[in-house]
Amino acid sequence: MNADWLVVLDNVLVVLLVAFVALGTVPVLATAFQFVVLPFHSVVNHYGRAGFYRPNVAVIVPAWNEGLVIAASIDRLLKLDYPQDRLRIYVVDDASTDDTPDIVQAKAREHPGQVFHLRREKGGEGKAHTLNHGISLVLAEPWAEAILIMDADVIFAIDSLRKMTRHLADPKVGAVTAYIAEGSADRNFLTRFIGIEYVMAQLASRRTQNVLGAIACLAGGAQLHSRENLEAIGGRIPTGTLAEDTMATFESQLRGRRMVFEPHAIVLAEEPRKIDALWKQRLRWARGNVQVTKHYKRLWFRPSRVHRLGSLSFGLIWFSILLLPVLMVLAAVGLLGLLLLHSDLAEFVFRIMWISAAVVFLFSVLFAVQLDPRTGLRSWREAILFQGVGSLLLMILAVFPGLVELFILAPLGLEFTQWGRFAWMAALYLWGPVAMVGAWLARLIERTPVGWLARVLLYIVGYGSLLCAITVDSYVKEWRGADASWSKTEKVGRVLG
Amino acid sequence: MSEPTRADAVAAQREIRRDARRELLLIPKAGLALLIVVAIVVLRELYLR
Repeated sequence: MNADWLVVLDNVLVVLLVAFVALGTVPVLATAFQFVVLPFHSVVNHYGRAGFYRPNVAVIVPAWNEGLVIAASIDRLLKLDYPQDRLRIYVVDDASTDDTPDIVQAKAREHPGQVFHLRREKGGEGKAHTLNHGISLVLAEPWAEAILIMDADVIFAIDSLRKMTRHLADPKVGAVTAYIAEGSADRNFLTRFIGIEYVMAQLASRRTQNVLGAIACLAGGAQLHSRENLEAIGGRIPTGTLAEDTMATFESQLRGRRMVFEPHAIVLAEEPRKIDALWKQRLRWARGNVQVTKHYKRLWFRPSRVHRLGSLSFGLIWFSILLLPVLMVLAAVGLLGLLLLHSDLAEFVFRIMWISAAVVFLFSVLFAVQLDPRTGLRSWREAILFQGVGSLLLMILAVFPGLVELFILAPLGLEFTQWGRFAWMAALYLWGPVAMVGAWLARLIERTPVGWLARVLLYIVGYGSLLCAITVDSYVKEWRGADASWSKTEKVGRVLG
Repeated sequence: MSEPTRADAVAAQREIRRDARRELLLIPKAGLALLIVVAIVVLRELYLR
């Protein structure tokens, strides 16, 4: 009888642990789904309903101590290939303490009626409040037919605005966003990783979202709203979370308006060169996403006739990113448990999981680097090592089993002992969580005299693990209700002119 | 206020069609990526024999 119960318990445990591993494979399936849908953008896109349309555009530039970048940004906006009498630039100076007001006022004198300096005496409340100051003034007058919200440091390609406005010819479209490309003149390993990330997250993922009819986020650095859309969401950017861009995107879609990602409108942005600066920026984004998930808790996986945010496909994409660290840990727990109970089954499941990961990773990277060949050529090492040397080795070991025994142990006349093999397999199974800890360590090491080791460590654990570690930090900070005051990412004018 | 000319409208339509055609390249790009993946799978099968 006891033996029967043990068998039942063993079976239940095995099913549970395999389910954990299967859950850990969900993000891989979500990525595969996105890259399979992606080619459909060649036929399922908005170009058929785009048209010649040149509305009056009010550009709102939030600026807090942007003295190093604001003049170049205004100059580039004035050089856009767009009717100049249909373009007005409103710089909302968020109580800057540097020379931002002087620079903007000088530009306003140089271009009267086209460049405006709007001053907020009480600053530091965050980007959404700053934007709302400008939006309320712009909407108070009937002139603006469309409102372009951007960051002070970004550089719009000369044809980008007209490529965005053409989608607003369709009255069903509420807003359009562009491809924010990493555009630093002095690139380093981190900005190259970010460049590849943006290709994957924008040129690939947002095209897929175009096909699916639900956009997760209009990029904060380039979102063009129709006047009607902004008025429909209350004439202001929602301020309740750290993800004001995502909130505005969701609110617009909940009112039945379509969002469009325009991959051929290119906007260059300056991105962090230090892990610590990236961590702070992404922590704000990740916490914002956790807040958005909670705010719209009645929306997920509930299909609607008005919008597609509640669709299964969009929910899969959203939660596979939000829960990625949890799913990775679950997979590791599942594999470790199986190793203790049935090591053969553990090895089989491990190989299935990592072979799937290898196939999807290879396909997605090879596809993505072709979407922006310049970034692909510049950052091919970061594309290959996006998941890190460790994960790459796991994929190779899963796809080509027995490599370690054949090429490392056998030439040395060695072979695995029972415990040696157990320890080796346990190390492989735990790699996901270990890599996240490694990414966290990289941030700490960066501040020490041996800061160069952080770069080496990041290549080993992978940029993906860094993003996962930041997501874990966002869970902890949200759970503890840590201070959520808005902190600006430092920009010093490194974007290629 | 500047009024758009017919030439502007024609140029804009041409640009839309050009960008729409560029999207068609997604199919061969996906094909190339798939081809390389398949090549590696074949390599694996040969290795395992």
